[in-house]
Amino acid sequence: MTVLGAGKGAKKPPIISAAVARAAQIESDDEDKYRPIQWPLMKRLMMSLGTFKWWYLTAITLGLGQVILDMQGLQFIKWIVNYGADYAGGKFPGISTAAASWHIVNIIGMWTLVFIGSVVLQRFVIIIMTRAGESVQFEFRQKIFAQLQRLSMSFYDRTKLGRIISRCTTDVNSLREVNVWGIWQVVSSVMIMIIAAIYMVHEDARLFLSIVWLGPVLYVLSRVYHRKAARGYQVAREGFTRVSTNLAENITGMRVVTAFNRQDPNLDVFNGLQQINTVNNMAVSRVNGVYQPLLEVVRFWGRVTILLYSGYLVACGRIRVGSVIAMYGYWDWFMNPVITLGAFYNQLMMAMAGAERVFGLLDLKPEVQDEPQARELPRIEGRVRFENVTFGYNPDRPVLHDINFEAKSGQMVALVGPTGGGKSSIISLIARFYQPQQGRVLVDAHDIQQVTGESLHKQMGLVLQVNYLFSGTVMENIRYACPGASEQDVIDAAKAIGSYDCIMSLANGFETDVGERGASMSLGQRQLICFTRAFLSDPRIFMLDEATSAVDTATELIVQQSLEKLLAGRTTFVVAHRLSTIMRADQILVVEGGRISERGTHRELLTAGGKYAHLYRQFVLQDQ
Amino acid sequence: MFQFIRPVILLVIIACWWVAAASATDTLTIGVAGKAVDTIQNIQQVSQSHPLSLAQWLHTPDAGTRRLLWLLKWLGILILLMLVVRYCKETANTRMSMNMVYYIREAVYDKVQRAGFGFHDVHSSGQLINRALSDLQNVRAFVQTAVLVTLEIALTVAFNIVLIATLNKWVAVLSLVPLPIWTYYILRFSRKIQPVAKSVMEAEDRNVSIITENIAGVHVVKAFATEGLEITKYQANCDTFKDRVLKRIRMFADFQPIIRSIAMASHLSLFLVAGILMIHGKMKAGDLFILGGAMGAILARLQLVGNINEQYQNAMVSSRRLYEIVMAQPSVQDRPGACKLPDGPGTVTFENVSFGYDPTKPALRDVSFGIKGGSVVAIVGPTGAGKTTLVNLVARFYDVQQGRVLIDGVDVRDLTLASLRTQVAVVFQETYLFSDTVAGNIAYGRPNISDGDIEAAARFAQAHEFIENLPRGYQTILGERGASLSGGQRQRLAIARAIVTNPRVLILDDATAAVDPETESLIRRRMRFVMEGRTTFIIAHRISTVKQADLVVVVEQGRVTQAGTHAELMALDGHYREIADAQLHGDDAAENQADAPSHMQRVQSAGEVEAAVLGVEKMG
Ligand SMILES: Nc1ncnc2c1ncn2[C@@H]1O[C@H](COP(=O)(O)OP(=O)(O)OP(=O)(O)O)[C@@H](O)[C@H]1O
Ligand SMILES: Nc1ncnc2c1ncn2[C@@H]1O[C@H](COP(=O)(O)OP(=O)(O)OP(=O)(O)O)[C@@H](O)[C@H]1O
Ligand SMILES: [Mg+2]
Ligand SMILES: [Mg+2]
Repeated sequence: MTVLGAGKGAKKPPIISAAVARAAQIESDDEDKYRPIQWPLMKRLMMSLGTFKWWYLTAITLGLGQVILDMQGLQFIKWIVNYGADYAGGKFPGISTAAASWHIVNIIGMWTLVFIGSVVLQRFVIIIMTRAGESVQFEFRQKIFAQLQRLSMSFYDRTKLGRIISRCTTDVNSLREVNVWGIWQVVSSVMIMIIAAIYMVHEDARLFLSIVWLGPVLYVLSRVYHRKAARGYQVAREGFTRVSTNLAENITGMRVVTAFNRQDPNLDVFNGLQQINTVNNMAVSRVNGVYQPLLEVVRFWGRVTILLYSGYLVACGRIRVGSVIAMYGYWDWFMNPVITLGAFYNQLMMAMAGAERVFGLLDLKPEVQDEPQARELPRIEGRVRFENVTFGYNPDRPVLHDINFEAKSGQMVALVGPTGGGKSSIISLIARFYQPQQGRVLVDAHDIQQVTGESLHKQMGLVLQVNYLFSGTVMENIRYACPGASEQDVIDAAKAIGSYDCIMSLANGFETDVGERGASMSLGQRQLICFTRAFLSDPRIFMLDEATSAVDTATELIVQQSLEKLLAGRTTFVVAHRLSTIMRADQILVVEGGRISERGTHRELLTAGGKYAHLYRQFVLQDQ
Repeated sequence: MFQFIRPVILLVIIACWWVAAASATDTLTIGVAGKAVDTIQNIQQVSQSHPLSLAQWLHTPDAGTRRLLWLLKWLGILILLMLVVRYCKETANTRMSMNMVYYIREAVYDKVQRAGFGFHDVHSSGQLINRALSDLQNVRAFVQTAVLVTLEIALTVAFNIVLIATLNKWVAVLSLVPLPIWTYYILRFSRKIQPVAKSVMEAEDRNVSIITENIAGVHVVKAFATEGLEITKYQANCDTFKDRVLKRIRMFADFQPIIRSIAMASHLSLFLVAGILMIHGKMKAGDLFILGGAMGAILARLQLVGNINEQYQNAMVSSRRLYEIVMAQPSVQDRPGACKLPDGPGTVTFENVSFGYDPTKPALRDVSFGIKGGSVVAIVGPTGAGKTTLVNLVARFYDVQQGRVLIDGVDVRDLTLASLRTQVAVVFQETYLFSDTVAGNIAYGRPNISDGDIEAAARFAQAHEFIENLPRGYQTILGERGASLSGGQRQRLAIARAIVTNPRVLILDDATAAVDPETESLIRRRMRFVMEGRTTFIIAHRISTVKQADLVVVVEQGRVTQAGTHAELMALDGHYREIADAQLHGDDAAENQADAPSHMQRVQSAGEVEAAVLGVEKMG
């Protein structure tokens, strides 16, 4: 039994190379992972640490103490070795071996005390430092999320889901390098290098001079290495993003994949992307394979020099063998921070890229935003007026031109017209998802730009053309609009509106799990749930964008009749292609090519014999 | 888990070899450096009378100096060797793990694609994506560590102990003593921290899923002004998340001193013993040096044991889950001896079909009807009646539980899925478009088709005009799920996508619900040419859409309650006339609504319809 039997795709020639290339290109607008260090950004990052300033200072002070204690270890070794060598060399003839051994025990005892001090300090450093750092991290997370809630729809049109998520995950995490360990790393590295240098100079200045030039060499090498590796990693990560995007898209679109029998070509495309991924990763590992040992070689060069030179110094009688061991050790202390700093510089560049994007997002001004002097919208009657409204998702390509109409309070207004005419766009403008480029939208007598978004939305009930259910039960979804509603309220609402029977016919009634995006119910059922959800929020203005397109006419009729009773006195907007839905509207607007071409009641428009009459003939009489 | 290693076993062996070579060189360098220190200790101090220059010293080497130079030369050679060995180790390692990932991911991808609708009803796509990405990562991390790092640890420990034993047997024994204690504590720590680490991971996942849902449903959030609520929800999660992170740090901070103390204790006791041995003249400075280096290397490696244990646990879970996918029986698959769909006109017959997504709750009950090849059959019925379910069975997205579905006289279960699905094209009730170009989306079912054919299909679906108006025409890349198009535009692309495949049976599941009546009638008129000699299923709620069908089938509560042409059904009392009246005569019908018989009553009288249905079946 071979688990990996599917390997058959592996050796196929890449017949779909064009598709691979396309898949590779689609995502290739990947973001920069590295940015040069910019002081304004650094300053801003540092400012955000502000509240924890004292925590950081305390931790750094304690940490330096710990480093100094740790570095004493070599002194003790040197001491033991020198003493032992001298004693064995017969330098202390008057001392018995027992006394000499006792001397060793004492040295070890002191060392133990120093070590205990270091352990205690370390514990506090870890706790204080990470607590402060993580707090800053979480502040960033919450700020970003709150900002996401403020941003308007056009932002979400422009920005891919994956990208937004990476703001809240990867980018915030890249800040951790600065927030949690960054400052400490720089300060302690420099400190360690200075102390190590002092010790080495103290042992022998010439020896130190003969190797210290390796420091800059190592630093440069480390920077070069990390830059190369970083580029490689970025390429590799992009390749991996493509693999995972392809995977995700084909899993979510799996029904289409199955229906069109695309499994084989898809597998080829996928494997093509995987091959690219493999090649990229191999490239990274080659860089690692060359540079990592190379860094080691530079260090070893220093060690060999130390050994050779101390041979000479011993020959001159200037140092003793214990110092050789200490030198050897301090050399490592000296060189480790150099490598760390090289790597850190790189992480700092990543943090810069992350910070730039995070701050960029935080600074973004929502295109639709409450004016500073925005008022609460008082309870409205429900009049809606469009005054010379022109709007385009992209300002250069308007989809609505100079729209004017008025819906009186309590009216039912229907929007009909060819697909892509702009009906949904009108609804989005009333809901203030977008801001018109010209003209204004008024509710009662208030320009909706001048009122707070919350007070506006609380009085609207909206069922969108693209229905969306959150994962959870039917009950939770209906209650979403109105978290304060009791279960009984929900049931009453469903009964009042006529969706109760339909919901009860589901496997577990109101407790049925809707599945991912509502996948385990029929489309009509989903629409009815969305409908009930909007109704429960007790809106003054009700907007239904093809809200019942998948609901059968009989059920739709029931729903409509209940609505007429329930929503008496409230303004309703209905978009529908099934014209029977809107025949009773008080006002029908025909939206064509972004303009209102006709308006009137059903009968008026029929008599007028224009577009609507034509549409209606198609609807009722078919092609005759 | 080890089944995943088998295909790359050769690469694993090569990688192991290089790991061994690397450990050996590392240990040797420690040894050689130690010997060098020894030699330095023994270098004769030259008389102090005149200062000795470095060049002089090098040119007049005594025995000790000569030996030192010799050792340093070997050290240099060892370092160069290390350069090569490390490079080979690194690349061999990557090659092995990338290949393994390649095979597993391919297998998972392939399985997930072929597993069928039933499988996807149970597994959410988020979960599957996660498995293919992070579970796979876990398995890879484990193989990399379990095989290579374990080997490295074992070899490094063994080599270094041998190295110490060359100095002094008893010291070697002594240095072995702390190892079990150290390992024990590390394992204990990793066991203790694991649940905490897992809870952090869960909080992180939840964090991402809150954001994802919030953003995917951003319209809803905005429409109901629930931003404040969402922020509260997110903050609550952040609080737990942070608590858990801090808890993990705290555990780490508590445990770190213990681990360090054990390591230090062993260092200190070794140095104590070594120091005393030196006093007794039984050890030299170089030996002490080697001891320090070797012990450091051993402890550094043993520290990894904790990671391995953790990775092992994760990998066990992950590989079980991956295995579950790779080994899952597709809910629908080719029977042995399945044949290709023979040529035929495209008759479709349902024989006593029963089916339920949950077998105990049938969504379709005892459905029988038949349709002639080349005819147009319309399916109407209330919401949730089972219309979509019915057509899902024709394309065999699910297998029936009772009865059978025949195309041109062959049970769909006897056909290969490939031949069936290339002959049956579906436009789903909910449009899913890929974030590819418009042309790429239309050509989805026939990747090699010419641009001319793509355009022809778009014209049939009345999509050509609006596509031309897009910024880059057919080469415009669509937003995620086609977000930058209007509802009707998306549906028309989906229709074009289905037409392109030139199917024998075309299924339109409410495919024009978001299209205005005029465009729809244009589509229908053009389609009449395309559909010549093909069988078409149309699910629709608009009477104008279904009116001209050769057969209208009414489905209510999983049963076929009525069947006939528009004219026939209009003559009968029932669901069809009810909705037709409502649509065609608007107001008047609404008033009569109260008198219409309820769905339930009509379903009970389903038996009476049977005769009519069977009459139709004979046509097939
Ligand atoms: N988010 C968007 N970004 C860019 N263009 C868009 C976006 N949404 C819609 N459009 C374009 O705006 C135009 C009007 O679209 P709208 O959704 O308002 O049409 P509609 O009248 O509701 O059509 P339908 O009946 O098909 O739903 C269309 O040409 C569409 O392609
Ligand atoms: N994937 C699924 N898992 C479980 N139950 C399902 C699934 N899909 C549909 N159902 C249930 O099966 C029944 C029939 O659903 P189906 O989608 O066939 O209805 P429909 O007639 O197409 O309705 P609509 O007109 O609303 O599209 C419904 O009660 C629905 O909740
Ligand atoms: Mg629309
Ligand atoms: Mg359906």
